[in-house]
Amino acid sequence: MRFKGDSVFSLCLLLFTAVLVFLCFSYNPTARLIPLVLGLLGLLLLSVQLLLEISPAGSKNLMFLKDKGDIFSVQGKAQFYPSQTSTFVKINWLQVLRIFTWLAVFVFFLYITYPLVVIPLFIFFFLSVEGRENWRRSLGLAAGTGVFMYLLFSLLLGIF
Amino acid sequence: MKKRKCFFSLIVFLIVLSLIVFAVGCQQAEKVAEEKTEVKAVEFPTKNITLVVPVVPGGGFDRCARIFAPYFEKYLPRKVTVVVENVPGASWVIGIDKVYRAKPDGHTIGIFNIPGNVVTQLVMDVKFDLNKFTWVGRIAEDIYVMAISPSSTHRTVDELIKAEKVKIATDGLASTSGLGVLITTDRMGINQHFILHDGSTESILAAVRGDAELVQYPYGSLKPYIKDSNELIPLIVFADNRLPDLPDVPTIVELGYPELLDVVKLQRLIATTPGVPEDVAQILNDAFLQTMNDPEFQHKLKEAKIDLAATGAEEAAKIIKNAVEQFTAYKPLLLEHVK
Amino acid sequence: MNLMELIIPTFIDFFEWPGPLYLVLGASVGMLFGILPGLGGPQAVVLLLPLTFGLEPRLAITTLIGASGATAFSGSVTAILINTPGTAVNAATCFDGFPLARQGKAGMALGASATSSALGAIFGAIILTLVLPIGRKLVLAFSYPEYFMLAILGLSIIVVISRETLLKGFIAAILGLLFSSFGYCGITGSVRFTFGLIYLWDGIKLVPALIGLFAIAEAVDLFIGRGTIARTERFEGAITGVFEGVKSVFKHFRVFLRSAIIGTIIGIIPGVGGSVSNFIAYAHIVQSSKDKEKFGHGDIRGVIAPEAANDAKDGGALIPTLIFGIPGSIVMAVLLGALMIHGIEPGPRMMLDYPELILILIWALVFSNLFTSTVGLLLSLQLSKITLIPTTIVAPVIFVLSILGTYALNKMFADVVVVLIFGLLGFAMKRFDYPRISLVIALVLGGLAQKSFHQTIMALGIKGFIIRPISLGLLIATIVLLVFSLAKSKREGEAV
Repeated sequence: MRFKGDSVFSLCLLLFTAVLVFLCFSYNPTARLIPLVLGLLGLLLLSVQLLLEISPAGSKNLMFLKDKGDIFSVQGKAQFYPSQTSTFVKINWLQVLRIFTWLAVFVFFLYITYPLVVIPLFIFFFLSVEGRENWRRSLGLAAGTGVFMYLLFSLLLGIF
Repeated sequence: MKKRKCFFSLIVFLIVLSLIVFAVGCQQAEKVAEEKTEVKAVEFPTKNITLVVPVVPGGGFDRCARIFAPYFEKYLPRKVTVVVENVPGASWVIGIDKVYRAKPDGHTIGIFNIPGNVVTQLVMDVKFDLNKFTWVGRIAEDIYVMAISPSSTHRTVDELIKAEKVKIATDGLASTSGLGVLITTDRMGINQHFILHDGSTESILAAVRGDAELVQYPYGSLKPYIKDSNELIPLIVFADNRLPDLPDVPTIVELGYPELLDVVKLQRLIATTPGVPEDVAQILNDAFLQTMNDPEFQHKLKEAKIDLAATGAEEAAKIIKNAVEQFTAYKPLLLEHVK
Repeated sequence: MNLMELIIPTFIDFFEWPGPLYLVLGASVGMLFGILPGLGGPQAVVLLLPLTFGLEPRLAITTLIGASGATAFSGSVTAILINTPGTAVNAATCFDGFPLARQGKAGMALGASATSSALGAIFGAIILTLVLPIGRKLVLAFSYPEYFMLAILGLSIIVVISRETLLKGFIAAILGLLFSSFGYCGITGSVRFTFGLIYLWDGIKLVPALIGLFAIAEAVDLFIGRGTIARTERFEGAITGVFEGVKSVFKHFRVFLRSAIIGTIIGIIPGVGGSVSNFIAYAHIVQSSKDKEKFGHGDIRGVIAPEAANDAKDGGALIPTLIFGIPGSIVMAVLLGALMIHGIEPGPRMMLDYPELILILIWALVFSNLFTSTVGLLLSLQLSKITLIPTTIVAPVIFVLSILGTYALNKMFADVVVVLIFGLLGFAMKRFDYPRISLVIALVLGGLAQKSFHQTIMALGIKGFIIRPISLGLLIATIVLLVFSLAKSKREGEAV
């Protein structure tokens, strides 16, 4: 049994779809018809996907799917659209999480303070800490972005 | 080591930002204090006034608000700008909420859709109460017309009542127009078969195409199809007197349903946040009435096909009170169709 | 036809000072908004709307159309350079535009996009002028079942473009369809999947979702990957690259023409929305090419097709707007509002009462696109140098721009939260090879499909789908498309 990142993601999607299917039952018959059919179909497909991913035995049993011209290939990278899929084999998920935390913090402070203060600070700290750029470059970019944002959003659009 | 350094810097970033928040907070507190003293001296407005339009730009309410804003600002005692801001979402709720929760200093006003917003308040779980708003006045009232598609085999109200099934095109039943046609056809005993749409233009188009038989919308929206291209046949006018434009079309009063007159109409009102001091409300109301009497404003409104029907603050508040009472009576019928 | 007789006089009118000045003003604002992710045509026209109140109708139209016409090409700039559609209609341009940028051929892609956009707009304008007299019949020919079948035809494209990960493609599509049913639905009279949040009454909005799925996910990926976007030693910075792009449109003129026709037709149908045209054109070109495997790896045809379609659709979209007063998009709605404030009522009489204004509008559309594309061509060398900047520096700027751009859209922080959630989802999808394109197509078309499905049943019953010729034709086209592409993948699978 292999349980890797992709299986975790598929599992998350499965749970999410399950919640939606569960919610469907509280709606009137017309309203729930389409989401319910879609949700059940989604549950089925996600279960197949998950089975194929986590158990080699399962994927053997489901080989009949693969026989059909390999269109249901499980590990098949979307080679057709390389730009739309990730370019890196190994990903440091801690770093990804950290980047999204940065963004969440940024949005939070955007909410409670002035954008024109938060934007340069965010750029500066993000670049120098997360991006490990030297501080001069970070400062320059922070100032530049700040001025640009001021011109665009404040003077032109009057948004803040 | 590097990781620890990263997190350390993140903390520094947080601390710096917290300090800024603190500083900003203090500043705002001061500002509030300042404004309070200013209000005492009835200096209003002290800054730009925001006119919230709770729908996406482009529709009738947006147009009405954008015509209203520049004239309204002309009659305010101090020179400020009235900024139109579209706050669309959740069938008006997000925009109305914004006016409801604004600081009660009169600097946030909004345009309202009555009875649509009343229906929303009754059907949806909303936080605001329309009766609590400080009403400024009514700008316009649209007259509704019921029309049928030429593809329908029915030509009169009686035929419609006898018909086995009448396909009615409308937008969601909880909207002003949807509820109007629901109540009307229910009262007349027409066998309704609703075909629902996202907006009024789509449902009018459905009747023009012949996919639906009956539509009921403000005359302004139906006029091009009734007068210019004869693609719709007018049946009933929802007004006290016949329209000069449609002298042969009977009114709803003539047909014996005068009580529907109060229900089937579309009104555009202006209100500000609940709890605005009386003197500020008075200033707003004065400016509003002066705007309504401005001939240039009246002309612009007419050009934009909006029927002026100005009233002051008191009448506006009464309109709301009546509407809430009336529609509460229709709530069971409404809930039957909207779940 | 008096419309034809007026073409030349209105052309002269159009260039009467200060007409061109307002065109340039509008187009400049449009370009800026088009380039910024999040902001697009609707925001540009809303910003300009108050300015046009004081102008005479002719100039007001020139300004507003100038702005909206400029956004489609400008949005492709970010799509090509940083894999982030600048506006919703440029999503398909990413598929081949960005790989080109990675190969150092950003200049060529920009050249092709600019040329294809300008010609597409001209094509759309010509069709608009020709079709206006019969446009009414065209619009009325499409009813609920046709809308539904069009949506299904669009959805079937998912099969074509997620060939090698069909299972994951389907899963992504189902997720997209489920997302599209979030919120209040007037047609079924229900509120679904709001989790108690008022914000979700409006469902998942397309723009924040797009920004999250593409801009944020992409920027995170670029940031982690480091290096520069152009991952090649030989950066074709010379003017020849841009020129080659211009030439490529003429080399693949049939690709261009077919995409422009698709774009115009989809524009004419109210309610389908321009965001679909680029996908359908792209998928059609992929489907009809013999060398499918080249697409997605930086095939210039993959840039020409969506850009021709999304600019040609503007001409088409004006038909229902002008003839029926039915806005196909927010941009059109604002334009309608502006016309009505000037006392001009779009509808059956507009063609008879104001033919010269309609022609001014068409000229504005054409020249706005010509202006934008010319500026784009002149700047493309400078712009393509973005791909040489280290991604660690580009990424934070993308973050800030897309987050603030989304906020500027409705001034709602909830939108920004959606951006972050979809950013995470998009990154995970990218990482685990779930095609995001499938999700986006499903999200765009899901609402239309569901709505028109219920409406068909309400109005015509279940038989409504097959008794009408156009609807039946579209159904057959969909089946043929599906059978062909499945059979083809099977054959290819066996060959391997």
